[in-house]
Amino acid sequence: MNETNITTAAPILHIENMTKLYSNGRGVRDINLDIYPGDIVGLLGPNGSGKTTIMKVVVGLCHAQSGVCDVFGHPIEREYEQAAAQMSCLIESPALYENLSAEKNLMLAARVRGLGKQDALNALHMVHLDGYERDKVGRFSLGMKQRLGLAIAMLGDPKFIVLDEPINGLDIEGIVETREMIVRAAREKGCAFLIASHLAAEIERTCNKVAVVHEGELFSFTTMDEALRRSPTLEDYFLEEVRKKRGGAL
Amino acid sequence: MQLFMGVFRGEIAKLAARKKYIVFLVIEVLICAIVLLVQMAVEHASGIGLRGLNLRMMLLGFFISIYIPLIIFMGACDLFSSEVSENSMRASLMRPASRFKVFFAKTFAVYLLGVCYLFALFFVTVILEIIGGSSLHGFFSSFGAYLLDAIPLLVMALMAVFVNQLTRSSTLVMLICIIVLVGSYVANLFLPQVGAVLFTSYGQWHNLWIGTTLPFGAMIMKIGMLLGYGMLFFCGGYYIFERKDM
Repeated sequence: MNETNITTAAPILHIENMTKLYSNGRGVRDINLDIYPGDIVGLLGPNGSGKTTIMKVVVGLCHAQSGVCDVFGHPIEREYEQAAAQMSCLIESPALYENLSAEKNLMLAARVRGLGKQDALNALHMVHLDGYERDKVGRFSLGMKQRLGLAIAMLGDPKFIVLDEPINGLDIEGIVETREMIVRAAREKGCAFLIASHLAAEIERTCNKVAVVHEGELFSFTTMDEALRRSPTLEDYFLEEVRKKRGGAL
Repeated sequence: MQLFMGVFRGEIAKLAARKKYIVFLVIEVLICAIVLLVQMAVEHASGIGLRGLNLRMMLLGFFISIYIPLIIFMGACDLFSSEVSENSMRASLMRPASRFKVFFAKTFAVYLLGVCYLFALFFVTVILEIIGGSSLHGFFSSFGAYLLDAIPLLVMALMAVFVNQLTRSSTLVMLICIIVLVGSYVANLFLPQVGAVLFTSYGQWHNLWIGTTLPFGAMIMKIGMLLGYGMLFFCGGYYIFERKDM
């Protein structure tokens, strides 16, 4: 779907030879990734493979040791505000203030983006949390917190959204709604997504591109159509790519 | 500026949502009322006119040296180490405001918290003095003293913020800050030469300006010392905050 974008539009996210290693030696090495408007890129990999580290560098929560990471053409390290102006994210569990109400949590994010109370309430409505605006987040279930995290991420119609395990804790309806919301935003508004998950089936249903991450390395990055042309399911594609890189062994 | 104000208002909202700050404000009022009642009781029993004593200045020393620094330490812990350990710091850092703006807004919010307690003390003592039938003599000079004492509170806030960057345990931060505060008071008591170069010895800043004024050279040195401490804590704290992986 985005073959034309790849050749014509400027990438929203450009990562080149990016390396981020923690003191324990874990992290990611030599990552290369370009994301264009309308792309829904799924980062697929097992737990601890480096998906979250890539996302943290992209949103400026972690500092890469080397390489390039540009968002909307701005280096995330040096021009954070310009890079983050149209970007939002939900990394790991939603970062919420448990002693504040849902509305106040949203308002904290809304004020920084120059938005008002009505925008915050609209975002709550979008994730079906109307009626809970005055309730303290500490009393919310995991699924409700995840919905609120998604509402904060979607606030102000950003053009690039980074979501780490977005369906974590959601019920079936919530999973379907989230998926539809992502696909709709990409198709209608040209919004780009970088989504991490260890669930191949979910990536297959939601994303139009897939990047396989394993042990801190990016094994492959291709369109979903291409991945499914090579293998019957994304799960098979993932196992095949890992096997190929390891010379036949899993 | 709009971006900074958005972050700053958020930090104030976070502090305002914590009920303990209201409780501590009530305790502050109660301490003032108790002191006034004791003053009146002593006066009644002994017949010595104590009401001539300035309640505003009498309580300023205790609050500026002990009570308000503790509030500042608590505020700094709530906005820094607690947020890091509760994983909510990421919420502040994932918004389109630079780390400098976030750090500055949080630090300024902590300072403002201390200043609010300081001026609450002033207004409470004034009201109590009016109720107690005092003449409110030296109103403007005591207001000036409060204004002057608000300056070293900034260094206190910067110190607390700096210590918050060293560990994510708010209990440990509180402990370190209290040890630094008490340690410096003790040093000031037993080793006046050492105490003179510690920032905590400038807590009651008004003493330098009101009453016996120090020579110009000594004043410049003390201002420079306070500025130096402030810059050191701010730069050190910001450097660690900026480089931190969340």
